[in-house]
Amino acid sequence: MKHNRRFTTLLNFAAVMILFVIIKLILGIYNNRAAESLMTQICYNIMLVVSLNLVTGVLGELTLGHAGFMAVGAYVSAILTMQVLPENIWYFPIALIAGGLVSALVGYLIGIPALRLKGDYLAIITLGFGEIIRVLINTVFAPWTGGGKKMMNIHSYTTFDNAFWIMIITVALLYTLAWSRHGRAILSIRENEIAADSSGVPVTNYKIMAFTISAFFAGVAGGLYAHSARVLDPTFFNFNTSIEYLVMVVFGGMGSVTGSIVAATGLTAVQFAMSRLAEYRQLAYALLLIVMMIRRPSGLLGVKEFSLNWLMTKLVGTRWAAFADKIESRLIGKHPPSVIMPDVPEYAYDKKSTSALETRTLGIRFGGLQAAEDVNLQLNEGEIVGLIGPNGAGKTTVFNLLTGVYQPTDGDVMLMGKSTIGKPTYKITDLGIARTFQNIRLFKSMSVIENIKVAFQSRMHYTLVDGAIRTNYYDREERGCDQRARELLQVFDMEHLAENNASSLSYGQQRKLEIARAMASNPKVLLLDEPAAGMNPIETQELMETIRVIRERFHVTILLIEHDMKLVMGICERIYVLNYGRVIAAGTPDEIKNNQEVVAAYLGSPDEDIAETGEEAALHA
Amino acid sequence: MQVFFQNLVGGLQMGSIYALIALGYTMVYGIVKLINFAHGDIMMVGGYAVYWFTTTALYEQMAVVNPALAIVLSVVFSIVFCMLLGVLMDKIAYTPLRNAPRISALITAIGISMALQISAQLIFGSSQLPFPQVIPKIKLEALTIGRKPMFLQEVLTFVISIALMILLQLFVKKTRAGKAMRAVSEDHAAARLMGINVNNTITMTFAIGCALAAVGAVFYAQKVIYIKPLLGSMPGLKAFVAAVLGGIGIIPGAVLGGFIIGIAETFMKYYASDYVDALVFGILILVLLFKPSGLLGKNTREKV
Repeated sequence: MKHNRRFTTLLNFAAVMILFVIIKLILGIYNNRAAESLMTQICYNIMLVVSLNLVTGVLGELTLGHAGFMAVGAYVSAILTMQVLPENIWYFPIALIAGGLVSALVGYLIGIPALRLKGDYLAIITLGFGEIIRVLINTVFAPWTGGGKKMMNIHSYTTFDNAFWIMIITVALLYTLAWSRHGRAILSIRENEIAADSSGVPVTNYKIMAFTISAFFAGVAGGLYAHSARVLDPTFFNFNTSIEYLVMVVFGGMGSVTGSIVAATGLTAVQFAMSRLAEYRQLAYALLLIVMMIRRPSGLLGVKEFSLNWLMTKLVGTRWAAFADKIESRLIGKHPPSVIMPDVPEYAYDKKSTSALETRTLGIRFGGLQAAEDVNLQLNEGEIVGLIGPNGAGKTTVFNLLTGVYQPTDGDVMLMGKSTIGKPTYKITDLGIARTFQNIRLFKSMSVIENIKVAFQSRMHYTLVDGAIRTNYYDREERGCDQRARELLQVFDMEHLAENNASSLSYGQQRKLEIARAMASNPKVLLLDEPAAGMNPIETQELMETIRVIRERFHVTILLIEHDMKLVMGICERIYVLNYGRVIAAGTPDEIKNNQEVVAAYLGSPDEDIAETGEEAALHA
Repeated sequence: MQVFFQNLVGGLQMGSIYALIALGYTMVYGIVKLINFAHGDIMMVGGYAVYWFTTTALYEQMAVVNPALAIVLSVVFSIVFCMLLGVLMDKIAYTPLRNAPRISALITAIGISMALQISAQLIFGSSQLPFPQVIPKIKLEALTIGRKPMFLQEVLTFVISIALMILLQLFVKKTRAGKAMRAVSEDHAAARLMGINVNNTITMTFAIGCALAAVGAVFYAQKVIYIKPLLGSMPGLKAFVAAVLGGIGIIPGAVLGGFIIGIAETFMKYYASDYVDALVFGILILVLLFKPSGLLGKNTREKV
């Protein structure tokens, strides 16, 4: 959570005011129409790039039709001001917002089918959209748009003043969105979609939301463009224009709002300055792109953001922080109480069932392969249960079935007596099943504490608007979330690493962070997939201790997959053994050790020569 | 009926061209998961290479002696030139980015695309140039549908394209190099451990794709009888659509997609020419909605 938020807001506002006055003064001195039009162009280009950055940089989905959304906004607003609304600049905002809304609606309709799928589909579908929209402008909508002819003499309502302030509002809103629980969720999707889903982030909804918001601001920017250029030509909104904005996003650094602003300003100015040397300029531009990508694939600023506080601390030193604290406390008075979330789940059993988790004849078939069949597990509240079996026995498949990553072809999963079949993964997390992954899936470029906060998602309630305008409710919930996240880190002895990057952690710490993140969603049942893999004996020993601690502290029921028999036999109260997708044995550790079928599954059947006594010893250890 | 067959012939011709270009997209995507946006421009370069060759003195002398050989030579020159360009492109721009985020390679592809277009513009000017008559304008009276005979150009485009596609399929399925290509497209690391030179295999894939694009360029330019710096953008985009339609990464898919796009477009042009582009991209969107992996694609899922 950022400190001295109100102070920072005030500071940024002051800086923006000063910037505005300076630009106005410069424009006043030169009194040059070309300069003013360049500044206006920079303003709406910044809006386009920052909004595209939300989808391509923050969400990590490639779109190739941003100019299409710009076109929708441009034409809708121009038609409104010229043909529908009375001729008065006071109606201009209505036209702009209407353009943005129609654009957002189109984005929403495209996003629903395209974003359900993983991969490059959004890129391809937006590419198609960008082409189709131009055809539609020329044909179906010709009565209003003038068809192939240009739409001329649009009112010149866009001025530097209004473009500047609309741009500032856009940037501010998108920035605050990025630093809210919603932005965190969107970023986590880019980092690792499956982990985001398992942390309770409704992935598809957030993708569509980000895409729709991006389309909205592109539409508004299109409206500004229409009333600044005064002529609309459908050929302007082509593939190359979309690409130009994409280039600016990548150039500035994917995901960095500051980078987007710098790149939009810089590249627009460069294009303007070189507009007489069109061909050589473009060649230089193309080569610059290639060299830039080879030298710095992450763009100019990477994911860094500029902050005035940071700059002032550099300049003035620690006194700045003290000053900031003082002003902040004047501004805010006393903090309203934080919203503290419970850290122990409430168990609400349906009817007479007392099992925390139960599966009934659970099975899944992939084509010809029956990966799991007739799996009946039963976990009592507060138990630690092991799930073991040779490699390829279907253990992780069972986890994927329990969490809704795969939909079973047979059987049922009952969480406290209620079926979870057919529910999406994030919903199941919300209901109380959290998991870790065999191959660690962290949000690598996010900090440790942010990793954990992502998983608080399903228990936080403030809305998009709360986040964007930073209401009291936002404050209270974020502060509560921060407090709980740090407490959780304490349990894992990691509070000193809170601000570190997740990818900088050691292997053992990464595994622990994954467990901590799973605990943040306040699960009733925790599924651990090989938690000790790659740990040395001392780390494993500590891990066993931690697992016992979290069971006591958070009243959680645990099912764990593990090959380390010392750990399994040491902490599991009961064990299920899986082979070829079926449960071949169940019982206490002692029963399992002496079960002939289990020994056979691990070491081959007794008929064969049992030579691997070493492994047998490991099983009995 | 007359109209139907006429459109069908035109559609098969266009479809062959799209299929040839789509193969380049699909092979590169299959092996490095990169949408090579410069591919359409490689095709444009192929057109200019033929044009340039026909303006040289060598060509003029040869044309006097043996016109057919001179034409074949000009096409071969274009193919070799495009292959070299493909190799160069991969070695300079894409090889350093093998492990970079995919979007970086994509932006590089866009950069190359722009660079090629502008270079063509600087060297040959931005206006259209007439494309030489590579395939003689001969009517094939034997192949007459209704009252209209087919042209040699139409038949040749189709036949040569199909022959090349069969050759490519044989190459990929039957040769050592083809096996290496398939292995690399499955898993770079595993292929490397089996002793395959991954980088060279990828470069070879680029070269083959570019050669096919050069052939496609000749047929396309012959059909529209001009060349210009932006020659490759729209056909390139549509060939890409064709590749996605058939299932990107799948060689027969690119061919199927190419023919579907070519035929649909030719018929649409006849009935409602304004909507051609909308139709092409509309088909794409519809197919993706109902079969996201493309017509011949298989659904794959990420291992969790």
